[in-house]
Amino acid sequence: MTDVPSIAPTAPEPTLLERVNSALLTLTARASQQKSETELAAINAASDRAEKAAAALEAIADTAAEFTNRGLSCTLPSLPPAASKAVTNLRAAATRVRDSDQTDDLTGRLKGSAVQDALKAAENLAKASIQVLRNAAEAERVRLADGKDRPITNLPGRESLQVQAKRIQATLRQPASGTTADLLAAIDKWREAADGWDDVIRELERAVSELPEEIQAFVEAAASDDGAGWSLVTSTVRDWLDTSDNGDGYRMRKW
Amino acid sequence: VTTTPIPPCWSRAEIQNAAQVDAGGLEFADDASDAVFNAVHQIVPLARLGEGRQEQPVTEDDVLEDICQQLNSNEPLIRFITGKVGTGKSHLVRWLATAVPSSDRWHRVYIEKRDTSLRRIIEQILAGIDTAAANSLRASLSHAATQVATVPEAMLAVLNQLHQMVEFDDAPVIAGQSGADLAESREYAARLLGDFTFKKQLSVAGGPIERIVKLAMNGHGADADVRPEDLRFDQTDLRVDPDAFADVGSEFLTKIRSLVSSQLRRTEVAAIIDYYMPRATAAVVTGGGTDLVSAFADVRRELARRGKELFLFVEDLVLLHGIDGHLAQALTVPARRDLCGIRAVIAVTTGHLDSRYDTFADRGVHYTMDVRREDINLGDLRTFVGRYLNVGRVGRTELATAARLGMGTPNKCTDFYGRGDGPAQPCPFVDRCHQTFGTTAEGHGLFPFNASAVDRLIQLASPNGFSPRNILRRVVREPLAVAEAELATPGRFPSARFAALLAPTRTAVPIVIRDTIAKMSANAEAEISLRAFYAANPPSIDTGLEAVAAIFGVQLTDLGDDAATPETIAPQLTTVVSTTTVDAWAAGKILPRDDAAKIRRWMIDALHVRLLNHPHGLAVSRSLNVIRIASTDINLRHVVVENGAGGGEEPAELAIRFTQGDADAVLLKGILSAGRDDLVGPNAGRWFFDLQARLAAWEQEIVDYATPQPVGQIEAALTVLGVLSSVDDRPRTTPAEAIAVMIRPSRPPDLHPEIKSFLTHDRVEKQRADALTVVRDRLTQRKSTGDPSIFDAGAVLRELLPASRKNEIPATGAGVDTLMWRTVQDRQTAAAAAAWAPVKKALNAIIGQVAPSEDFAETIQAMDRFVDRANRAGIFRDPDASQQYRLLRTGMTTANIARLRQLLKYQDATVSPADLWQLAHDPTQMLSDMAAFWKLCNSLLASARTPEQSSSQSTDVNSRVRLHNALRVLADRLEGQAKR
Repeated sequence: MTDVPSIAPTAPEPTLLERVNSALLTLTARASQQKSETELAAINAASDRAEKAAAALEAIADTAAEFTNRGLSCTLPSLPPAASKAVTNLRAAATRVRDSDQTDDLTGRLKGSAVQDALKAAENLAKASIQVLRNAAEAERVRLADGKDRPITNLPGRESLQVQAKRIQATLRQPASGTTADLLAAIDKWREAADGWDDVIRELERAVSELPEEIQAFVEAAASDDGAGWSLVTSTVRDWLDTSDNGDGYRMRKW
Repeated sequence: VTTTPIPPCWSRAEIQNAAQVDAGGLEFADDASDAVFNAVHQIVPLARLGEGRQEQPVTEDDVLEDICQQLNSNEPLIRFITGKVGTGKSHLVRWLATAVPSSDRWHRVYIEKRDTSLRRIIEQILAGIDTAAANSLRASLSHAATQVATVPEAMLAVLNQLHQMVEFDDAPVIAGQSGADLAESREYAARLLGDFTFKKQLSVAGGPIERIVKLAMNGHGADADVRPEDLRFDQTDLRVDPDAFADVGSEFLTKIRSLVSSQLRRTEVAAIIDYYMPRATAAVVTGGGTDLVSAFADVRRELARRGKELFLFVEDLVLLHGIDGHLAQALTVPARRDLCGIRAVIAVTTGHLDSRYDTFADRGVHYTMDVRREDINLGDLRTFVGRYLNVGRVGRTELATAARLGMGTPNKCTDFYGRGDGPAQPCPFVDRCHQTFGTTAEGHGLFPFNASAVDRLIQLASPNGFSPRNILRRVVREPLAVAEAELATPGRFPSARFAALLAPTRTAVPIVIRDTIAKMSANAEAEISLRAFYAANPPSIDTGLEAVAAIFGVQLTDLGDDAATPETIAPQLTTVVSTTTVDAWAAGKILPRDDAAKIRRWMIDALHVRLLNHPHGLAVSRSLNVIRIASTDINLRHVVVENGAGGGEEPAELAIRFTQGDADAVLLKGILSAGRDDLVGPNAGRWFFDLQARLAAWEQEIVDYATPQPVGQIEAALTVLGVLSSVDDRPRTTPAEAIAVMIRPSRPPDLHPEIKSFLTHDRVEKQRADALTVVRDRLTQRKSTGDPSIFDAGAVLRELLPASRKNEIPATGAGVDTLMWRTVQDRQTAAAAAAWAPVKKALNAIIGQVAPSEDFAETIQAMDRFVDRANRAGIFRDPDASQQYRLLRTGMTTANIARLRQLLKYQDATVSPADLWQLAHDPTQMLSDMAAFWKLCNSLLASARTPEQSSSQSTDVNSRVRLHNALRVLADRLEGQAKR
């Protein structure tokens, strides 16, 4: 006797209603999926902004402390009264995020005014603080550059001093730029340049003072934008120019 | 005489081959075909047409000598073989071609009929010629063949070519039209030919353009007649269907109307089209640049260079339609030093060489084959048939072998039986066969004919002139095919199919005798054919006929007095022609109006007399030719004579019909003779008794119809009224309401057409009228002597309501067997079946989309949601899907769904007559819309795009942790800065 092979009962064809319901469920799943993607985008956007603002405030605080250490005074701004609830709102949002169920949709909360305003307030505060730091640094630069923006005498045999003096002038003319951390480096650079200025200028003035008066007048006039007039080219000056290649750096010109 | 049958001794295939419509069907320059041709060739009378078309008898040899004579001038030697269709012109041309002695001086070109297209003709003329013009012409042909590879393409090209030629050619005279008349006709024809619809009308399958183009492209089939008129365009070809031009402008429609309504107009336009048709066809089929005249001159130059003459044989000039003008021009150019001499033998159908060919025709000598049959003696005609019979018996192979061995044509009867297996022996049946059936003068046996049969068949096939083609078809091919099929069964041959096309009713045997034989003989058809064709003096029996009948196994009937007194006895061989109008009618002709009218009147008179004397109790009256019996009228229209003139439209019922044939012809002869006061008439008056039986049956049918049905049962009448008022949905709660509905039922305006048809059917309305009559007679009373006006329902008071609620005839009841009930029941059953068929089809369509067990309303609501959401999500591929759904959704009302649910109950049930009323309001459209709705639902579900799986996953925990930390740290920083 042979075994009759068992035949698995075939599933009945789904009814139209069953197929409609299935399609509706598919639509729901699709909507849910779309919602999750929106929420994730909102979370990422809020996280990005918060992290960026926090990092900026931290850098500002650190820089402000360094300014103080370098003897610079600056007063960072506080939150404006209108954004006074920012801290509270951010903390409340963080708590909500922590305590919420995974299925809860955060999109609405994150896109709501409380979180958005708080983030905006933080971002504005960071911007205002950076501007305060930048102003403080610029004031220091102006202070250091004061009295150093003048013509540099071109004295034969002292060209290296002249170059050094011009570099210092260029450094002190360059305003602060870049990030908050770059401000500190700029201040240090300016101060180093200002410190070197006195030595260079003193050496250069000493070398000039050792020349005869006629030659001294000629050299100083020639260093100015107008140049030295023909009357200053006296025989003494001419002899000096003819000596030891002293005249190599000079050219005649007619206006 | 022994009755041992003689079997067929011929091969049908050999007969078919040998007896093709003419020699043109036989392949030229083929040994076997040549042997067959020589075996069947027979000298026929010819005449040379002299001055004033005087006929001067000549022989074939005279013609042969004529065409082979020394050319003493430069003029081309042109000989026309003229004759009517089927007179053997091609045969003679072929014989001349084979009889012309072999000579190196002649370059022969033979243009056959079979499968010869225009292109093939030109190629045949150019065969062996390799000159520039010839090559150009070949290239043009080849190009044309690729340009118009199919008939539809060629038709369109020809019509366009025609349009161009008609519009722009400047021929000053066309078919007698010239000047302003021609200009107007030309403009009119060009306007027609420029119209798309008109061109389509001319290009229909089987239409004139297809006919002409096919012949030009493919030539004539081997077994087809070459009819010059097939290549011509005449006014009958312009009978277009005006309805096809419904969408053209009014101006053009006016032109079409004038074309349709005026034969003169059609004739003018057809003449113009016919004038240009050959040129247009040739231009399309052979290529527009074809210059046959130039190529022909090249051919002649080349031949002159080779020192040869051109010898042209044309089996039929009609084949050259389209290039015949060029050929005629080329053939009339005299020979020169550089142009070779020409000899041409051209067969042409009489009448084809009309005024267009005057110059050409005048250059040649004309021989005619239009000879009278009487000019050929009977012996020659039998010999003619006998040769084909012999060829059919011997066969092509044996003939070719004999020809190769230099033997004459063998005779299968005496020479060749058993050939190859030993010495020649005669056919074993030869003595009895030849003694019974006879032989020709050349010794060919006539079996399965005898001399009388051959003579008679030839006379029928070729009644006036000598038409060998018809003789071959009607005397040799078709009867032999019948004989081959029937001889195996004794008593069957020669049946009515024998020579059916020649003498369908075998009129040599008078109708009365045919009718008698039909009633008395076991092999009536064969006996009638034998008497008609094989008897020396039809229809009388002679010893020769008896011998033939014995071999065929046909018993001849002893006709006694009938045979002794036939109506007409032809004293000679001539087949008896129809002697009376009724004879002609039996042979398929129309019975003239006078005789038909006499017969109808006589029948009405006879019926009237019978009705007056019949004990049926019905009132019978007569007014002229109308008999009124009860309420039924019988008039002349009720006497239907098939194929009889007059009589008017045949009524649907109660008609007596005389069908075209011997039996009824005898009756009609009797009627006509009785009308002439000859009361005996044909067949010694037996016709009268046959007719009385027919009259009695007719009378009974009329009486049954006219007699009010015996609705003694008032219940039956009320039931019929109740059933027939079922469509009235008014309440029937009281007897008064019931009777009101039954007497005057109202019908809804949108009543189902089948129900309407049922209720208004003649027979049903009659039954209702009868039922009302019963009600009136039984349930009304009259005041004094006035009409009945008081309805007294007392006797049926209890039956009124149940009867009014009946919606079908019950299976049992007082009136079950009445005609009234049966009629209503049958019609209602038929109407129910007809009405439900489309409904069930529509229901099936719905079930195919949605299970009947589903909750339709719930499914529809779910669908609504689905469509709404899916539309918003934009997942339908068809942007209009939602709109379509909404449109069809409007029909899915609660009421309609309930109606659907109700109708679905009948889906698998057998429809009863009562179910007809379920369809009072035709639901077909509604169901069709519903089917469309459900189909759309399924379609939308299937077409909705499956949501794509996003690559990004849903919000994960890490993102939330990150957010939490970021917010918290930011809050700390803010707070820290505030504190600073």
